[in-house]
Amino acid sequence: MSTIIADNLTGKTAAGNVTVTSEGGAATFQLQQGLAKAWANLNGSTFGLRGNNNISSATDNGTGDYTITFSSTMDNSDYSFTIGHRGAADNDTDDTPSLKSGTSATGSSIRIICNNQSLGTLRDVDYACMAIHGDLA
Amino acid sequence: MSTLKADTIQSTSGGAATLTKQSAAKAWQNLNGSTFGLRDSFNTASSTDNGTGDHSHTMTTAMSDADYVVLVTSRNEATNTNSANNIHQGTAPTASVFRIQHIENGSGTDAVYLSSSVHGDLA
Repeated sequence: MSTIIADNLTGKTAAGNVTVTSEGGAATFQLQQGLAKAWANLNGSTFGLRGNNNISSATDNGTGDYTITFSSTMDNSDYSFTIGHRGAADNDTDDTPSLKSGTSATGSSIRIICNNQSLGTLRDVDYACMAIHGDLA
Repeated sequence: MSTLKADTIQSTSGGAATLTKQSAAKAWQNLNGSTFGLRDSFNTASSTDNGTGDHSHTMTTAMSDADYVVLVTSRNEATNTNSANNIHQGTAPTASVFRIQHIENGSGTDAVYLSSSVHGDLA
């Protein structure tokens, strides 16, 4: 087995394009496209980021309403965002984490909420996790 | 600091190189389920509108099997409504296609923002 040790990995022909071979060996795909460009693990109750990558700040807009701002911006607002959370109780189906209604993601930030159907309001969650996939600027 | 420049990385046997246990998403989509169309995507050959709040994504390069992870998130169309984003009930993912639903207040709903990502092994 050989190991390459380097600090930077750059495409030779195009700096932003490094191709890797699939696990099954039947295909290749662009490494950069698959990497999460930002992720965050947020405690919405005490409010604070436990861990993150490429996040410059998190803002508490009110109960169950948070804005996450990226350090390095995305090239547009068309990226994919996925959000998870911990429910209020075992077998809880009332919580829904989502992009806040009436807002759109921007290249530099995204506003997420956690709605609780039983309460009929937003709820602070102690674990809100998100990942961003797409193209950095 | 050293910089390695290469166009393709493989293991010495020609297979997938280990990236210090890191894993990349193998596909992702940002779908407008209302006007229906992909805003942007990766490794996605096509998307199909199966009905209200019911959509399928077909991957360009298939996964090695159907045991991969699908994550889905949306923006609700109504404020403070009960909603869910699911793998379509009764339709198991295949190596190349997965079908997802966005539901609000018990009914399929076309979400303007419906994002998804796929993690697992490519074929």
